[in-house]
Amino acid sequence: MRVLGVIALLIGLPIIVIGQVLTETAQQDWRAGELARVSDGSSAGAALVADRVDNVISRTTAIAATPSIRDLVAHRDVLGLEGALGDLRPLYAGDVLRLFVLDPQGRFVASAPAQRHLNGTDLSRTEYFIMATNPWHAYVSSVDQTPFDDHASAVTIAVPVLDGLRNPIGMLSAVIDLSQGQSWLKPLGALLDEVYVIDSQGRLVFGVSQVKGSSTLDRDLRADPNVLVALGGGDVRTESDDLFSGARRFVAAAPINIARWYAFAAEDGSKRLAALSRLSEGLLVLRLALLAMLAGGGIMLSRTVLKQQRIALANLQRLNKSKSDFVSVVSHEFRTPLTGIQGFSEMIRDEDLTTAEVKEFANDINKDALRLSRMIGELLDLDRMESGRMNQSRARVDLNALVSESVAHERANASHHTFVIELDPALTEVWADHDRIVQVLTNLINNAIKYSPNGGTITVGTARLDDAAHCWVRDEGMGIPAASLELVFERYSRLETGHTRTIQGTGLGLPIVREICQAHGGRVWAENNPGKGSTFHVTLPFSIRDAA
Amino acid sequence: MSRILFCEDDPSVHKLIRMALRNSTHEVLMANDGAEGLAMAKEFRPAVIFSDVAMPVMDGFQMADAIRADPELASIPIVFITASIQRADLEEAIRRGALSVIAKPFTVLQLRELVAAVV
Repeated sequence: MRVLGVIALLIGLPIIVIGQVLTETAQQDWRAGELARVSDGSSAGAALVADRVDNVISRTTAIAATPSIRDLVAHRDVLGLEGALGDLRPLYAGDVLRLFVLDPQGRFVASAPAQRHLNGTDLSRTEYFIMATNPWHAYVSSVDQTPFDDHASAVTIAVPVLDGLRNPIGMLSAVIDLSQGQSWLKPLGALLDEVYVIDSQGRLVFGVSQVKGSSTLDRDLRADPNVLVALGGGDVRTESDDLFSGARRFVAAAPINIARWYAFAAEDGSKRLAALSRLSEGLLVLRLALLAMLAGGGIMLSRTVLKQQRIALANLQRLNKSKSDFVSVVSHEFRTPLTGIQGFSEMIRDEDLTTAEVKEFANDINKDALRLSRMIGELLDLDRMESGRMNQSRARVDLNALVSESVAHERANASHHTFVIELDPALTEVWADHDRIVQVLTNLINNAIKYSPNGGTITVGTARLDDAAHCWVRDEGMGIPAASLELVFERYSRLETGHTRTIQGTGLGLPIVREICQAHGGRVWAENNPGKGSTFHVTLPFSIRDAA
Repeated sequence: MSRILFCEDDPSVHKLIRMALRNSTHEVLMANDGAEGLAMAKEFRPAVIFSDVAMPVMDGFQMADAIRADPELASIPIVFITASIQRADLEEAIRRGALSVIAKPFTVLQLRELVAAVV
């Protein structure tokens, strides 16, 4: 259901990393033989690992990456929840009655509207929520047992709240009033004779009926002999294929999986079909009219509506997933410079340092802050470039001059390396964006430094080709695995290949270089040197006419 | 007073650790990557090794494997420093025989407490 996707989106919680540490150490060292077992692939070994991990987690005050949902709720002061409730309202046109925030065990943390007691029930002591701890579980409260509201029927949906690293930190439970009619049920209701939502015990939660004289709202479906057939099991096929062909058309239009078909005789003697479907853990019982023509017209209409809903939900889910991936990857990268900024400033604050030490640490903070700033800039740049929002201003650019400047600038950060420049004096100007070309050169030079941690010579050269300028950066470092020569230009590729752990950086420098080169009609590629290290090549056409 | 080894490739974090522990009662050794860490472990037999996971030349996990494979080093406890706390990463660290894991960013106080607790 849409609300689930939106609830998930609303929980764009900031990632607050608490790198808190074991205050009492996990003193138990590995007992003899255990260590060998954890990696033997056996289930006993896996259990041992899981047990150990739980032990580590339970012994720390917060080795997990986010604070508890209680802290978050306290931080947002419940007003945030009111806001979330308000955000959901338009979707359901007032059907969301209440939002509850639960901890991972399903216990009450907060609610919006804020109140701890409802109809005499102390929410913090209620058992109700414990049932809502299965992710995506739709717990349907029956007609006469809704503890929380005066409405005739409500469904409660609990969804997990995940932080940016996909750790579950709590649950959100939304109580939705069905008696007003759900917008997503309405098209079905218009199409069909009758639509029911029943809970897993067969008790009616909500119903829409076109059949005159039939009021289903206060009827226990189990008393309906027709429905008993549907629920009682046993696939009853009839000889009338047109019943099923109409049904199949309906199924094709509806975003629900039909688990079973039942055909039976209704009390008026007409033959009817019922389809049993599971929809978010609730059960939807449909009755199809014999008159397939009517159904045909209705199906066209509902197909459009339902398809739109389906697309919207898929987009939300995709957006949510890529947002989570993005957030998790980025937060990973930012933590390293943050460690320096945090630590050095902590020492300045807490310790008696000499002036010289203070200045030194301040310099370290500054370097890390600049690094972080550059990472953020690259991230935004790449995003803008990829969505075509990057503005470029072209001018005549002297590539040789830019190379000299970039090298002079970057060599200050690389004391272990020797820099050699080989410029082609015949290289004329290129029509390009000055700042972007500087960005390309800076990135490639920094890469060369990163890929050669043991020092060596970095050579930057230019050459004039017939229709383009050629520039290269060569290092004498570790080289790039042949399979990854293309992959390094992908965003965050380092974090997905097996070689990731050995190479530092934001993972964005090379994708940005590629975007810029392509925007100029040029190319960038990498190759490994015959000796040590690799060389990155860039070509930039002299004019748009020469663009590749 | 014990000998402890830190393996951290990022120059800023490396320096931070060095500065934070400069007055420590323990002898603090610093390595820049997993290969250097392994060599220093062999030569100096530290009481505990703290290691970053992502490092060039040889990463933290590869180094841990090599240490476990060497009977003379295998008993040295290892604590991993990581920028990513997900259950899967914790499990992998434990599977490599980690004593524990500390997450970046850590404060200087946390670092010192960890050393005091583990060494």
